[in-house]
Amino acid sequence: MVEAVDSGSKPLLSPDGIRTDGRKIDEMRKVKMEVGLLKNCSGSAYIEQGKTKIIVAVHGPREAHPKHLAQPGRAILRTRYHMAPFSTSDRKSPAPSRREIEITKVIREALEPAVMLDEFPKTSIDVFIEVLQADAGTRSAGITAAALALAEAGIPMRDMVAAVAVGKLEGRVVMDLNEEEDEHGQADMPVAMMPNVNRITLLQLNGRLTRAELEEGLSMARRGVDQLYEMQKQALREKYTSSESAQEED
Amino acid sequence: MNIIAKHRQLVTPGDLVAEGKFRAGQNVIKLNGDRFYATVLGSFEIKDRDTLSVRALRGPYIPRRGDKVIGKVVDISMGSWTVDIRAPYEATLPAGRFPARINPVFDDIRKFMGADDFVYAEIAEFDRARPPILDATLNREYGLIKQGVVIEVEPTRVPRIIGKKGSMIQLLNRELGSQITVGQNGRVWVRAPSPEAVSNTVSTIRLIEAEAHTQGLTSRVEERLKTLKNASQKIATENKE
Repeated sequence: MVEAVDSGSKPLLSPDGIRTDGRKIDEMRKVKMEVGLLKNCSGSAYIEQGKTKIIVAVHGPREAHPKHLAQPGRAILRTRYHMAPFSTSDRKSPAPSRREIEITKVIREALEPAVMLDEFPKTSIDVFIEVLQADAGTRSAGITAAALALAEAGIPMRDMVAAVAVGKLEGRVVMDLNEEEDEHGQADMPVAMMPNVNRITLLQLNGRLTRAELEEGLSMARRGVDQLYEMQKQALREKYTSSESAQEED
Repeated sequence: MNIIAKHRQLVTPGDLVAEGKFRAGQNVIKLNGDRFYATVLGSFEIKDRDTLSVRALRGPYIPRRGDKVIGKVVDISMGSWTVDIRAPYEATLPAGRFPARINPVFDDIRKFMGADDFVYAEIAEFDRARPPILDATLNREYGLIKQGVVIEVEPTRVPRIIGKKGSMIQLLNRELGSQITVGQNGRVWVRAPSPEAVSNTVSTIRLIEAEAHTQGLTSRVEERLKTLKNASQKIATENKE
């Protein structure tokens, strides 16, 4: 860490609503998405959200191993959220930490309602989320990229899933915190949604929000999710640009 | 009754394709009342006026009874082979369904087919509750693959490689002098008179696979075959001189 920030001397939000990185309160960081960049898996995706960089690979549906994990009527969804040792400024031990195990679980639960698992009984679908560079919002960016990789793998889904974090700085609700804001802000609330079905699949809150702030945060997250969803569709289409034109009958 | 997506338009999971009284076909679900959504990335199609479906661009191979597939032997037990058919489930080929007289008590079935061998067969039984069972006796062309090259392609692109009623295969066979067998599971068996013909056939199949979702594919393949033919003739005349 460079220096200890005294939140009194250096405000995270200027009086006219500009944040330390120059963004407005409801402005998301710059997002870049790409699909199909890995060869040895069924589907893959890469996302950059500000300085956060994540790659996701999906395997399956394939036979579940060990066999006793297989469910007779549906596929099992397995996830792994992992941070690379070089993803943070201090080396992160490559062994899964308590935090990563928890995030693995919440990401699985955020994706499960969308994936049509009953189409592939006795199989497993494995999602590997590898954080290459962490700058806050890794679980939400991980979910957004995981949904993209699942779609690219051709696994049927009821809806896409996109996620963004909202937070509170200097008493104001803001969109998509970066590392500095996450560390010194007053609240951090990641939200994952299925945009068409209009359901929340992940909602966590670190810090305190009043009821009014929570509601404001949720509607702000909804706007963020809508933006991300459009970008997801764009990324999937871009991979097959020429297919916008009609397809011949076989 | 309101169709939102155009026929053959590229749709992504969660795209609203139509509202009203329709029927949900492949890869389309009905949610939020009378709203129909796509579940995969693919091209949207309306069949029989009211059936909505999406043809997936990518995806796993799901076995269906009667599919002709090319499998790879991964394990051998007393009376059967375990065969990888690139599906989420491993298939079984019982010795009694192999086109040879095998007495499982006296014969070692390894004599007929070993690990990593390719076999052309048909899916005889599959109901998702049990692993698929293959049969290689239903047709004379089935059995162990002894010669040629087997390549893997995306299973969702198989219909384009076959073409309308096998037109694409016929085109390749005619122009390159090769013999191609396409398994529904995305494995293609290529036999050709010369190594050059094999590599030309394989590269043309790769072209079809890469551009399976585009229009005017047949004419581009024809063009490519023409240039390949000219190139080989040139070499042949040079060799004569």
